[in-house]
Amino acid sequence: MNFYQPTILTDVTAKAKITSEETFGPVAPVYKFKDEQEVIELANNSPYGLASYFYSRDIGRIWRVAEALEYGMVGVNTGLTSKAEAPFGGIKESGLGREGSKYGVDDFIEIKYINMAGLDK
Amino acid sequence: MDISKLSLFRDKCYIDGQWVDALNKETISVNNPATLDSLGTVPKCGKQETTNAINAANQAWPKWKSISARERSNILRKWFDLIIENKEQLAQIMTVEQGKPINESRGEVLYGASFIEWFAEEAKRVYGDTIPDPLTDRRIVVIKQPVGVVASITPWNFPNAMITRKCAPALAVGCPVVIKPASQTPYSALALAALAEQAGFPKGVLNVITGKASEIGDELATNSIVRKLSFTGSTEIGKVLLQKCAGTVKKVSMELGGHAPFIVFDDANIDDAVAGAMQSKFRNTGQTCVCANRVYVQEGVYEEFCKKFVEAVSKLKVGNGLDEEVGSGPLIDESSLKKVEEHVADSVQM
Repeated sequence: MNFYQPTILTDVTAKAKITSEETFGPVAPVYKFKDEQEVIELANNSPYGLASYFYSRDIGRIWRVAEALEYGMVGVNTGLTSKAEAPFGGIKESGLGREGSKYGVDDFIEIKYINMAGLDK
Repeated sequence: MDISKLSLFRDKCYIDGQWVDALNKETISVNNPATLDSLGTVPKCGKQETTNAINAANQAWPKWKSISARERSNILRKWFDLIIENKEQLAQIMTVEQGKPINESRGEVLYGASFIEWFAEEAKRVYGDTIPDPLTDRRIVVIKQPVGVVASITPWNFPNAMITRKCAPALAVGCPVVIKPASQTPYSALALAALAEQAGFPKGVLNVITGKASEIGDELATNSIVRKLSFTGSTEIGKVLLQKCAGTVKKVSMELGGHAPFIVFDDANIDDAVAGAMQSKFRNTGQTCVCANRVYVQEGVYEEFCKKFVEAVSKLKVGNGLDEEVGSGPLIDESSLKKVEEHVADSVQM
């Protein structure tokens, strides 16, 4: 049977595989950090750039961190961001294009330019 | 639960409006990851059947792109309504083949359907532009047209919504689609095709092919008729597909791996943060590309957060997703389990 008890790991080191590889399972490594600049660097230190999340009630920090995270999607005070109305997608090695939202049709459309001349004849 | 008795259960491919076997009649087995019982089989198709599906889509294209956006929108809307009507059955099929808790499956069916509803509406709003020309006897006009035959290769972690998220916009703007669902979760895809058939999509507009992933993927990525490939899966496979698509300069959409950071600052509401971490990390047993993979907690709230996070996680019941109380189902297969075990062992050693 392929069951695994949901697990939290504390005091995980930067060298551990789980710090740099996607686990795709019910394991949460927890790391302690000191300040905003440090955690932005830690968060962005990845070839991936799909979803990211952070919790804060400080309006200045929220704008700074949301803009600094190198991710296609940022959840601020939420752990769930997917919905048809919003553009889903990643940057860096997380992918190309966006799905859902008003941008979602662009991926299936070609733009054609037609130049209509001779209107003076 | 025997899903083969359900009215939307299909164990054949849907190509050119027909339910068909592989040409050589070979099949692959589909298992329930919670019990490891066999649920049935699906056709083990390869290159030739894929070419047939692509040709069927190509034949259906001229008519599909030339009917009005409103007509396409109406058919999509009908598909949406049928999915909502059959929500429970689709959720049951999903839980049994994928493992996720039944409430998450219900949520995914609604989430998946929401893309069909959304793009049924967007179908009518594919606007062009007019641009002033520098020469006075001329005008510049920009129109938008469907790219053509679209191939969708979809993953097992969202067996329904990844199909609708890719296919609804393609179908809405006038592209026919060939869908290759993951071999672990084909029945959700085939059930969606059964409802698409009822909704009235003309034959060849929506095709679902199951079988040998690499052979089908190769043909979808290299056949010159396919003008667009949309893939959701690992970064590793995405890179291979990108290389193959380069040969015919296909348009590509790639939804690949993630490694989401989840950050909790000292000024956060800790109860909200714990609730968010639970949703983000443990949904679908941690098997989503947007799952929190690294939880960073500022030192002032580290102890409090960890204590509450552990309390919340210890309440999660692990088991068969059909049990309404279960919050964490099985991993999809043994190799996934091995990777999790390896990551934990490695972290503890370090």
